[in-house]
Amino acid sequence: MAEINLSLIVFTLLIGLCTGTFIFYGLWQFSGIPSEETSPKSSHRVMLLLLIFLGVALLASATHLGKTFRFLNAFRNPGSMIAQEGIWSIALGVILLIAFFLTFKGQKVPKVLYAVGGLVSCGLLLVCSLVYVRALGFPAWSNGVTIVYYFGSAALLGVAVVYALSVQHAEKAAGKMMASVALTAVFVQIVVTLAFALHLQFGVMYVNLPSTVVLDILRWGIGLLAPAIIAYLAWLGKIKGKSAAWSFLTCVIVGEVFSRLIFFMQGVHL
Amino acid sequence: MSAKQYGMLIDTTRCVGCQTCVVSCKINYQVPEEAYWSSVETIGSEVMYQPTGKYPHPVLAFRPRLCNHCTDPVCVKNCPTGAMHKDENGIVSVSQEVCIGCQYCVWVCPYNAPKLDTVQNVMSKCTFCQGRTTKGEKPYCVESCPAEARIFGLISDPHSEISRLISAKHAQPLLPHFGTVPSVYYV
Ligand code: SF4
Ligand code: SF4
Repeated sequence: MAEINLSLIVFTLLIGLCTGTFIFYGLWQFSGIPSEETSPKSSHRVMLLLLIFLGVALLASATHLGKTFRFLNAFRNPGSMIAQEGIWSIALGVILLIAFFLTFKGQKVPKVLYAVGGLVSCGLLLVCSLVYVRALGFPAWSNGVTIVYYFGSAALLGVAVVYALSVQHAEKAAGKMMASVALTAVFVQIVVTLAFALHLQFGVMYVNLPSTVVLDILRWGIGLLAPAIIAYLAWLGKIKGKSAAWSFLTCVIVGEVFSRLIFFMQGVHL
Repeated sequence: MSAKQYGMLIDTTRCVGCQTCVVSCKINYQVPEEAYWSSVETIGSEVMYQPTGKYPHPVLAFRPRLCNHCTDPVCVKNCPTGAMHKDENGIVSVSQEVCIGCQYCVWVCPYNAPKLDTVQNVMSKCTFCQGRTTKGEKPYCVESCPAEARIFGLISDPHSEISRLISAKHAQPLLPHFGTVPSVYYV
């Protein structure tokens, strides 16, 4: 079994949170639902939060290196996916910084910046997933399903954060719509999780994978079923917006931590 | 691909699993702690020295493992620092002063060949005894094998002894479907 590397769990979780939130926050802005007064204020806090997520993610990633202070060497071979992770992270960092300064000056983030940032976020997610897809030594990871797994996780995390933000501003219009978006994101993640489970069951050859039954139960219960129920009840109007959104976010984050634990436990080398 | 390519032919029908090669490599290169550049496994079993098959036909055979010094090495392609490199003799080695210890070469290598030097926190691996072989000497594992199960030579030269034996004995590399084109062949 691969070493359960805390740095990589933190890195992948925060990259998922950062990219997913940026993409869905941008889409939320495009939807026109955020009111004129709340938009720049909220954007300023969100960009700061995302900068912190990205910064901590990169620090976590650097700490898993045997020689942390040589991290600049990691850019010498730009064709390597590890170097690509660094390059795309820096690009996203620059976009977040521009957005942060614009909102600091009370200006709105231009839609084009959201669009470019959204594309860069997708690029970052893709190269992060390719790091695992190219890991031929680990049959559990070295498969196209890992790409979907990465995107599904980031989408769910991003939707959960934007759901919590939307109710923060008590935007009634957003409440029901976001509950349905949240429900859709959970549904997508359920499909992705099933696809990954099928790949582990039938697509992995040459290695014996460890059993992760307890973690699977926790992952499904806390990370998928509970958020689905919460979002459904919120959509029906049976739970208040704020408590629904915050409990949804908490369950999703805990579930995604379990998901990563399971993922890394399946890292059995040939 | 480098024009020259050193390679190895290992005859598993001769190997007796004595692990002299493992020890000679470990000692001569002072490979630290848990790391082994060279190892021996029991064919068909995850437990060393456990026979497979059923009485009256039990099988006990061994397969020495080492870096395959692949012609198309994924470790080199995916190393972010360029520390992992292939030289003009086709030998794949790591520049420890450049390596950042990310261990990604281990992830991408289907043969689990690079080993972390847990003292220096950088990667280390089999060098095909570069210092010896470039002077025409045999690698330590070949030199020390009492069963003479290993042959070393230029596989890029079709007239070399090793090339002739590879084709005569229909030797095959391990896990060729990964496409790294290994330079270590097995009978
Ligand atoms: S066996 Fe692994 S470490 Fe050795 S050259 Fe091939 S890919 Fe690289
Ligand atoms: S551990 Fe060193 S040699 Fe291996 S991929 Fe990372 S930088 Fe390259």
